[in-house]
Amino acid sequence: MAKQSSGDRIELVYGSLDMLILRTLLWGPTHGHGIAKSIERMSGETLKVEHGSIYPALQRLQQEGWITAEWGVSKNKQRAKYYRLTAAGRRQLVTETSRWERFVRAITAVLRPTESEERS
Amino acid sequence: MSWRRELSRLRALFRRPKLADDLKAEIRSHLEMEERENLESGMPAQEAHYAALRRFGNVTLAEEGSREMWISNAGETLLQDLRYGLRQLRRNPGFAAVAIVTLALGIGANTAIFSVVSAVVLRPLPYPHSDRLVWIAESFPALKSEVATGGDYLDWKDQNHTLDRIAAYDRGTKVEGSKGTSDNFNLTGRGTPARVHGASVSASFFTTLGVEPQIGRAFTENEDQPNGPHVVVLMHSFWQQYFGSDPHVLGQTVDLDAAPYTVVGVMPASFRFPEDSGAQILLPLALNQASERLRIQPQRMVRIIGRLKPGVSLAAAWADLDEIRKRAQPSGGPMLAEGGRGEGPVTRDNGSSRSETARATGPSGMLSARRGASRPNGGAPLASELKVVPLAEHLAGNLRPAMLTLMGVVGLVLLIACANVANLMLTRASTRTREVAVRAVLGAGRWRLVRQLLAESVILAVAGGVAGLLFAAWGVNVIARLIPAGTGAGILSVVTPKVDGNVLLFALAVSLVTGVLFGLAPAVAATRPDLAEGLKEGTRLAGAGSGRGGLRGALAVAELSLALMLLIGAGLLIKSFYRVLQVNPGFAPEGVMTLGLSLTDARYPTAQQKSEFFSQVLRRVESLPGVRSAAFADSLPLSPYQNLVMMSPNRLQPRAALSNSTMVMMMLLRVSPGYFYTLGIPVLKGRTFTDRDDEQALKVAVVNETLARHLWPTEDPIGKQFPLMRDNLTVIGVVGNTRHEGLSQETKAEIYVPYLQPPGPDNSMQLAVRTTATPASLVSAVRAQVRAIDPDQPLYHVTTLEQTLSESLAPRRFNVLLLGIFAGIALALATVGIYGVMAFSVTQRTHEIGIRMALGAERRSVLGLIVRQGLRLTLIGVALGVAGAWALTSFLASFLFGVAPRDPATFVLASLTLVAVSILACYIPARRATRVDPMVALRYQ
Repeated sequence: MAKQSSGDRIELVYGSLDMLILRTLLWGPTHGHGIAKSIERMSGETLKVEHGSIYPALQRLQQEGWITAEWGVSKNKQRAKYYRLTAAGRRQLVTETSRWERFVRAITAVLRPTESEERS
Repeated sequence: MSWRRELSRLRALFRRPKLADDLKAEIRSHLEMEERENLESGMPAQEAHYAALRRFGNVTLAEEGSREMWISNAGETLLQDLRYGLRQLRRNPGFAAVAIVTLALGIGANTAIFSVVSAVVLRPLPYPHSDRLVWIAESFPALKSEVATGGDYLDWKDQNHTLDRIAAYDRGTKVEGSKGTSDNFNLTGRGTPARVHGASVSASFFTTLGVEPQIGRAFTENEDQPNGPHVVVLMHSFWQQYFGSDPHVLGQTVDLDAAPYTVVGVMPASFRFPEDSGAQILLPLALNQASERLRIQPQRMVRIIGRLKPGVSLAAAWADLDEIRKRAQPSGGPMLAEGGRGEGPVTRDNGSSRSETARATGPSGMLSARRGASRPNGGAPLASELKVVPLAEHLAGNLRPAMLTLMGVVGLVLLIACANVANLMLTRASTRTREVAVRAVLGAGRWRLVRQLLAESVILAVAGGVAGLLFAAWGVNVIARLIPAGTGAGILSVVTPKVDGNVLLFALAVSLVTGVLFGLAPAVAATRPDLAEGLKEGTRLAGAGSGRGGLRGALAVAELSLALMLLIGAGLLIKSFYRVLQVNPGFAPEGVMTLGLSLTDARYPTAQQKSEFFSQVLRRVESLPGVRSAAFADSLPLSPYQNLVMMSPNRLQPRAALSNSTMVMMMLLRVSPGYFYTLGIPVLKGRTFTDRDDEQALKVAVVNETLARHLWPTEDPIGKQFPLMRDNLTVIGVVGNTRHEGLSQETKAEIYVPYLQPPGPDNSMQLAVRTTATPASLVSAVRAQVRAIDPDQPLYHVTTLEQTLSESLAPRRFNVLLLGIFAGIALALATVGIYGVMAFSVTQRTHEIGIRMALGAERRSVLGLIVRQGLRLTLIGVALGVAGAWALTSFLASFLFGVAPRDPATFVLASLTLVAVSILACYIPARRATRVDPMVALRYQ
């Protein structure tokens, strides 16, 4: 993956956000704010997430049946909607991840032909 | 997975307000959390608030984005997909055009045939609760007829427990077309004398069918009696034609056979008589109940329709009626009458023993099947069984199997069309690999991609469907016109095939299914997740993509094999048709004009007067310029026989060589002396009739070859005595066989008697005139001669024997034509299919071919390489097609003549045709391959 000098953040590639959300929820149920924060923290603050963009994605994932939502109360005694990964979501995450890895390998192969291994 | 999404979207539709509130609350909570964090990190309050908002981005956009996920999508993504599909197709008009035309052919053919099938098999008859209407008859396999007598009808009517209503009728045959006897009348007093066609119906006929006259009333039970009042109910068209739709028609009279009949009712225009009858008027059946119940000969032959009581099954009705039938014939089955003195000619099953034949001949005993009792001289009883079938099924008759076969045929055509378009889609998909890969990487789910590609194929299919529907609307008319009058015209006179709601629904369903059928495989193949490969440049060099190539090959093979099956089927029918045309009819139809003349008893009460009239007509017509000869017969070739004679050979003197005592069945024809000459029937032995063979002379007969060979295989038939009815006839000649019932029908044993000898001519005779000029030019001259003798005498069925012969071949021509057309379409589609596969393969292998040529391969070997590849596919297709045809052609057996369903010659010829066409289709791309410039090819990506 491309490295970046500190400070400039990378816009998320459309479609990869779903995968990141699912990945975040692997650690347990959390709310939208928590998900946004996690993604930023995990990427070493490299990926910039516009928090608002998470919500359409959450709706979509719910409709696919990959996550479920439930109202709960945060540690600050604040009402918040908690999202939980379903079994289907877990499977989806595996598929998405392997697809992503192949994608990255492909892109790398194109960008750095000399380094890419011969296609089998 | 996606059904779940659709489901949750559907749910969301109803819970929208709640979801929207939820979302607002959720976002508010999010912003508060962020704000709190900002505060905790030491931001001033106001800035913490704004920072949180900044971080969140556009709140409205987020809300909208989420809402879109719930609702808009079900409809909107579909719309998007369709729009996208349309755009893609517009970019490839050539591809779209080919696909749409292919589909239009497939769907159109199916829709056209389906509209006929729908009319014949699916649509209810135009009577209320028509599902409860049944056809009841006694079936005599030996006579190939289904009949019932007035006595049967009365017994069933009185004793059944399963029928609501039961009606009998005596339909004549249609005026146009066939020439059988019927309830036909000479209509006089209303312009030119005309022959009108009537049907006699019992008083219960109207209530059984559930129809009522539009004006006036139905017949009463009192009118439905022998010697009852002369009343008539007019069909709508007759009312229009002869009464100018006069609303005050009731009480007026119509002169039928010179007797006045009072009009009591007019049927509505929508009423259809339940059979191919073209009935113009309805009369009371007027059964003689007393004599019918006692089964006194001659009995009336009737047709019977019943209306089942609600909830009664066919089987229950059958059992009920069969019991009654068995009670009526204790001796265990009917047999043909064979009176003490001789055999009675049985009137042919035209359902009319009264009208012409029986009425005319009276005492000479034109009997019909007689029940029970004695069995002199060892006549075998005729086996019979009761038939109770739904009326719709009875009417559909022999059209049903033909239509279902055709449905199967067009189904195959549609499959081929699908395979073809699937192949096109595959070819296109492979050029779009990269586009698909990019879209997938950008986050489009596989299902969405498949759906997009499917949307494209469904658009194609629907466009093809619309075009096909136009094609079908035109085709239905053509087919309906082509359906020959004889074939199942019964049902088509009641229902007309047309493009109706059912058909539209069918076309839509076929289009959608087709779209999915040919779109799914390519779509799934195209979105196979080998994205990295798809994204890379130059993967095309890596080889022909064996997986997809295999699918393409399989589709081509399927097309070829289906096409071969159709080719073989069409080949068999064509060969049958050819065989039928080769048949020698036994008569010379060229230049023979024919027409019908029917005398009424009122005007010509005695046989003497009838003979006089017919003789006079002959004399006058023969004297016309351009007439070579003229003759009368009670049945000319290609019209139904009027008389069937059953005879016990034991009564032949001396006894015939036949050892067994089975009855000999033969057809009796009453002809005038010039008959054999006029019809061109060769005289093989002895002589034929002369004018001197009249009522005073020795009773003579002429037999045909079949009968002669059957009765006197080793002896000379001339001079043999032949017992018939009360008389002993002397055989004076043997004539050649004729295909009286049609070219593809077996020749029957025939015996000819001079029409002047008792019992004398029938009321209805047919006139044949051999002309030296064109027959049509003589019509008015002949008409004038007849009018000169009797101005009130109508002529009908004026046509030529050639025309009749051609019409008799119509069903066969119809089958050949339709199957031929469909096989042609199939072959064309399959050819395009294999061409497409080979052309694509050549494109794919350009690089490889370039290398081969650079390494010194000759053009010829490259050509061979490609053609061999195509040939391999073709041969697999041929093998499968032959196997399929081997299994299926037996369904065609009933349509064949003189050809076995597995005729090797046809199989081989059809296969060779397919191989030849297919090689040609491979040759074109192969030649292109040889033109490849190695330098270009090697650089080719």
